[in-house]
Parts: sequence; structure tokens; C-alpha cells
Amino acid sequence: MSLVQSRNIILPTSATGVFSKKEAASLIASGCSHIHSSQLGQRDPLAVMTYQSIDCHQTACYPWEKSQGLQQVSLDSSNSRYTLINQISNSLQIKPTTQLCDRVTTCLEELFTNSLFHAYHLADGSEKYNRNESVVLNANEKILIEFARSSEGIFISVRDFGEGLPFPKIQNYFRRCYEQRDQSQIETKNSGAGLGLYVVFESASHLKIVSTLKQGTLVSCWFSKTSAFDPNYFSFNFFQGEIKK
Amino acid sequence: MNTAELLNDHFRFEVSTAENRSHIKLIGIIDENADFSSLLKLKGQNISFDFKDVSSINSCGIRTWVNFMKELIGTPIEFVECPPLVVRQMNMVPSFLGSAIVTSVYIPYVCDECDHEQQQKISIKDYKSGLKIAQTITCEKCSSNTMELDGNVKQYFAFVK
Repeated sequence: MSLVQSRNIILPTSATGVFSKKEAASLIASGCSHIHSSQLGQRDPLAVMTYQSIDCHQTACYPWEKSQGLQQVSLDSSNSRYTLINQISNSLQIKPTTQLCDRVTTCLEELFTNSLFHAYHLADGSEKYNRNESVVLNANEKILIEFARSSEGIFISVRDFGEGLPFPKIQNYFRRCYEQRDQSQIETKNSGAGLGLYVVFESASHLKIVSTLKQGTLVSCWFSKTSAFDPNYFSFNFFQGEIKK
Repeated sequence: MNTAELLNDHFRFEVSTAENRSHIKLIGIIDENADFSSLLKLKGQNISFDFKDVSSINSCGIRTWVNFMKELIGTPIEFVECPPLVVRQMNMVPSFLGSAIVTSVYIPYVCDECDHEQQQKISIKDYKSGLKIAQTITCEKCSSNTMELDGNVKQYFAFVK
């Protein structure tokens, strides 16, 4: 693919260079699971961390995930999600009318509903919970949330214990959301609109997804304080493997 | 005519009519529970949707809205007072706009000194006529001149055709 060839490729599934979100989405749709957008290219410290972790067959842990003052909460029902989002927003001390608040709370809502309604499946593979009904999760299905704030931005992560999110499914999401700009951008067959991950990808500066089949998914996001997209400070990483605490 | 309709705990709208135009003020969270079906009776009339008090829209809310817009094809619609969160939807999901014309939006500024955020209303007609969007303005809270546009003008107005 010419886009990839004009930039640096370390591994067949990784790319460094300076990308727009649309270019990055195109790379993801074509199979790239690690993208670091920075003028530093392969010397970008975050890219170095990613490649070192790949060499060690581990999942990278980025600086914002080790923030001081990390707080943890859990979500156990669909009806309590708006209250929890307000609590998190208050704990993070973000003013409710700001763009930063909108980006963070919108992503929390999307990640919560993805985990509540789409992560848990029945034995026949169909989704266990219906989007049109209130959901109370079982004790072994709770959703864990971590969050922290620094002077530079906000970190959130949402972890479920569901089916896992295979990379080909993510590729399909990005293909539909970025290549279709009409109504077919929106999913009509399923209970969800199929836009959640797209909204998160557009809103976050750094996005990491770790998924293990039958064990769950962790989505970790870093939101820069400023709302302008900075192609010099953006990454997407998908790891298939153990979700570490 | 003035009516207020409580649709659910999180969302409602208010309808008023003036000068042959229905003005619909949307208030709260647009999610999967938002129901616009009672507004379909206005199809064919001039309609303004006022988004100023919309506090959040989730992805199912986007789908509900897009389907509603599809039902109103052929109706003269304008979007007024669109806050940044609605502008983000229009940029991410072009069909959110349907066949509507955007009349006014708010652009956000954040103060470097005191973190205060304020929004300025911009007429899209003025923007199309070459209005220069200020990169910095004076903070109304601390009076510093370091209140910067929170975003990129080109990215923010990408929905403008």
C-alpha cells in the first residue's frame, strides 16, 4: 500500500510516520495493528515501547496508564451508567460544559455500552443482553474502570470479562466507519449503531486495545487537554494477549 | 403555540411556532431512548432545531437522529445554536446533517491562565463570507488575553460545504 510504503514499517503490522486519523484508520482496516503518528518516526518513545513489548511478547504499558492518583470503580448495570459517568467526571474535576468533558464522557458512554450490551454472549454465540432492556450484570461480568488526571490530560480504561474483540472485527468497524460516508456508515442490523469504537478513536489522542478470546477486552485511552487533533501525538495499538492488572 | 414534551428522564424537547416556522428546542441526552416520532407531523413545514441545550449524544442517539432526518427528507430544516458536541457529530457522521442547513454554531475557547471555557456564536453565513475566526480572545473571567480556540478551525468547520 503506497501510504505505508511512504512511511516506516518495522513489522508487517506496524507503521510510524505522520498520519491523519483517516489514514490511520485505513491502515488499521488493511491489517496494521500498531500505529504511531509522530515526526520522530521510529524514534518516537511510545513506538519504541511498543516494539520492545512486541519483542518480549508482552502488552505495552504506556506512561499515562501508570499515572499517580489512579482511581478505580466498577459498573454493574445499564441504569447506573449515567450516574457513574457523572461521578467519574466530578472526580476528574472536569468542567461539565467543556470539550474535554464531552470527549471523555462520550467515550465512557460508548465503552460502557459496548461492554454492557456486546461483550457477553450466550453459548450459541448471540449477544446475552438486549440494548432495549435494562441490564444487571452477574458478579463475574462486572466492568472495571480506571481513570486519572494530570496537567496534560486524562486517562481512562474500561475492562470487561466478555468474549473478547478480535482484530478482524475492528478492521471491519474502521472500514465501514471511514470508507462509508453516507447512511451505510451506521449499523442497522445489530442492536448497536456500530459507531462506538469510531467515536472513541476520533476523540482520544492515544488508544490501546488488549483483547483475549473468552477472557475479555481492555480499552485504554489518553485524552490530551486540547481538542485539536495533533498528528504528532497520536497512536493506536491492538494487542492480543493477557490483560494485565 | 408552545408545547413541552417530556420524553424520558434524560431528554425532552420544546416546540414553539413563529413566523411560519416551528422552533424545536432539544434538551438533554440524545440516546437510544430519544423518540422523535411525534415531530413527524411537522414534515413539510419550516423547522429549526435548536441544539444549544443538548448535553450529550451517544452512537445509538446518532442513529435515531439520522433515521429521523431520513423521515424528514424534503422538509426545509435548519440547525441553530449547535454546540461543539453537535459539531463533532456533524463532522464524524455526515448523515447526521441530513438535508438540513446549519445556521449557527458555537466555537469553544479555553483560557490558558484559569482554564475557564467560553463559547462564541458564529453565523455560518458570515463564516462562508470570509469571517476570520479569532485564534485568541480575552477571558471574561480573568481578563487575560490567552484564551485560545480549543481546536483547529479547518477541522471544526469541516462540515461546511
